[in-house]
Amino acid sequence: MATENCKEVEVEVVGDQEAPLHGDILEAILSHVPLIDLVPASHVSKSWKSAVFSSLHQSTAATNNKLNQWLIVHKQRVRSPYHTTTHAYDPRSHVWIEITPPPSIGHVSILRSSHSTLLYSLSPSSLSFSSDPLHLTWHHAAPPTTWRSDPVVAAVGRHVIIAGGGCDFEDNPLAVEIYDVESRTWDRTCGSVPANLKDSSSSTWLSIATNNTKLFITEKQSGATHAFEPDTKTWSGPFDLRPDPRICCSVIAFSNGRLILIGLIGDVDGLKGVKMWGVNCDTFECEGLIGEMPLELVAKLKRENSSVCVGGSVVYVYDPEGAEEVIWCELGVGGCRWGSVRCAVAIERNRMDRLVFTCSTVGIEDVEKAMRWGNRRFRPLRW
Amino acid sequence: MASSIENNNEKLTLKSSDGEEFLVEKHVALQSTLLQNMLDSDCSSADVIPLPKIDARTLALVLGYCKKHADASSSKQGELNSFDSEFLKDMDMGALFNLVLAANFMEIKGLLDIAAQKIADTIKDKPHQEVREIFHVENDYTPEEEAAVREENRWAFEGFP
Repeated sequence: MATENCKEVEVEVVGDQEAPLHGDILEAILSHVPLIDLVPASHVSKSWKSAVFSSLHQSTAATNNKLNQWLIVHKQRVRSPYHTTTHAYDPRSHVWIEITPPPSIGHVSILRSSHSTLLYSLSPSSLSFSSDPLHLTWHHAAPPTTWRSDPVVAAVGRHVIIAGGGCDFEDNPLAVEIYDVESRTWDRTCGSVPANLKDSSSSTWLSIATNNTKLFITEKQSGATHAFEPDTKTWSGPFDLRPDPRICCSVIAFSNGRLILIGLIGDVDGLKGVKMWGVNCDTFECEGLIGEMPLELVAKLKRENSSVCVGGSVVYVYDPEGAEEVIWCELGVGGCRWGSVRCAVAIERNRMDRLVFTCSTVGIEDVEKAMRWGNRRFRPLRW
Repeated sequence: MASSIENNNEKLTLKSSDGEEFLVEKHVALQSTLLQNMLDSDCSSADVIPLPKIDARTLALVLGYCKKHADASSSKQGELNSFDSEFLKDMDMGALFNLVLAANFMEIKGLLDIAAQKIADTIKDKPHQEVREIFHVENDYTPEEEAAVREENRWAFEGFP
């Protein structure tokens, strides 16, 4: 009778001269390698390079190689010299990565973010902003004429819009100014924001979303939503974005060209649920429920104020004050896939640190560019 | 003697590339989609199934994995996870390569995943020259292309401050 045990046999070792792994099997292995390590892997040989690229276009049940929407977190000290660090979460490999050095702009002024992709800094002497995936390039502009503490700042097509947030001693605290990125000029004759947005400081109480032609602003507490078109300088609204009367906080974002509303449902006793709807950008009607957050994840959000960062089909929901746990949702054809990730940079921060979130679709070419031209280094963290 | 009652105890014989025969219980063999498909079709279990690409040492490892997973299907996942990580621990690269190729050929998804992950882990944090050596890959980049890559890796792999 044969035995299942291995006998002492001469084992034929894989040939030393030729590459034992290639084709599908190499791609299967590469699909387990984090994106930041695929850059050197693509330099091994030309066949490895093509295996790296084709593995990135494949998805299996175990690995979703197309999941490339990174959550980028800048942690910044609130006082000068504004010490800043940059961390990113890569959902494809479930790793946090430290990116050094952080944007040089961080050392001179306060960083803020708006509508998922725009990172900016507004000071009395300049407006600097960046919207490339890893924030390698910064555009520096003259400041707006009206000084503002925390206005709406948003990029719409080739325009950057600054709205409201002005101090009461200014002639018009509600002034809107539009910067044209191509001509590098300001248009100061853009009217005012609707008066009911006057008392809301942007980063805390407003949720902002943009597409190529319009800016959308939702007041989180009331769900009142306004839209602004920079080409015509016209406002519309307010529209009531509250498909459920129990919503206590409404946040908006674009996901693959579709406006979505995330509604936090709760009362004085705390958060009861989180639901997501698609919104028609013209009628401002909610077109049906996209998904509902599982209750065990709702419990991790705790408070009734949330912010959202969206890239492509991935939605990250977090508490802007705490953010120890970030809830993610992948919007797929067959429904939503939910999960959460610990955000150690938020757990480790002290009270003197602020967190600024953006979300970017990061491809291998972006990482390669950052290494080659941006002098960035990427270090995976094991928390 | 053949009857449906005895199906569970049915055995089949696998033959490695170096000619060794392994008698395997059917439920263990079913961990392999390749063998499952062969059994589902009219392949008789009395026949010896040759596996020309898999040597005896690798096949013994593969069958050890299959037996554990077949027998433990109703037991705790945690136990299987610790078995999996022990199973690959201290395995040299040559053995791992053979294992991943065998898992791919025999279509044993779980084994393919853990072996691929283990190999992937060795690629992490390594410059491409080192990966080339470990994986026996011939460098087909021109010296100019290679120089551009070196410049880049200077940044990627310099120690963190």
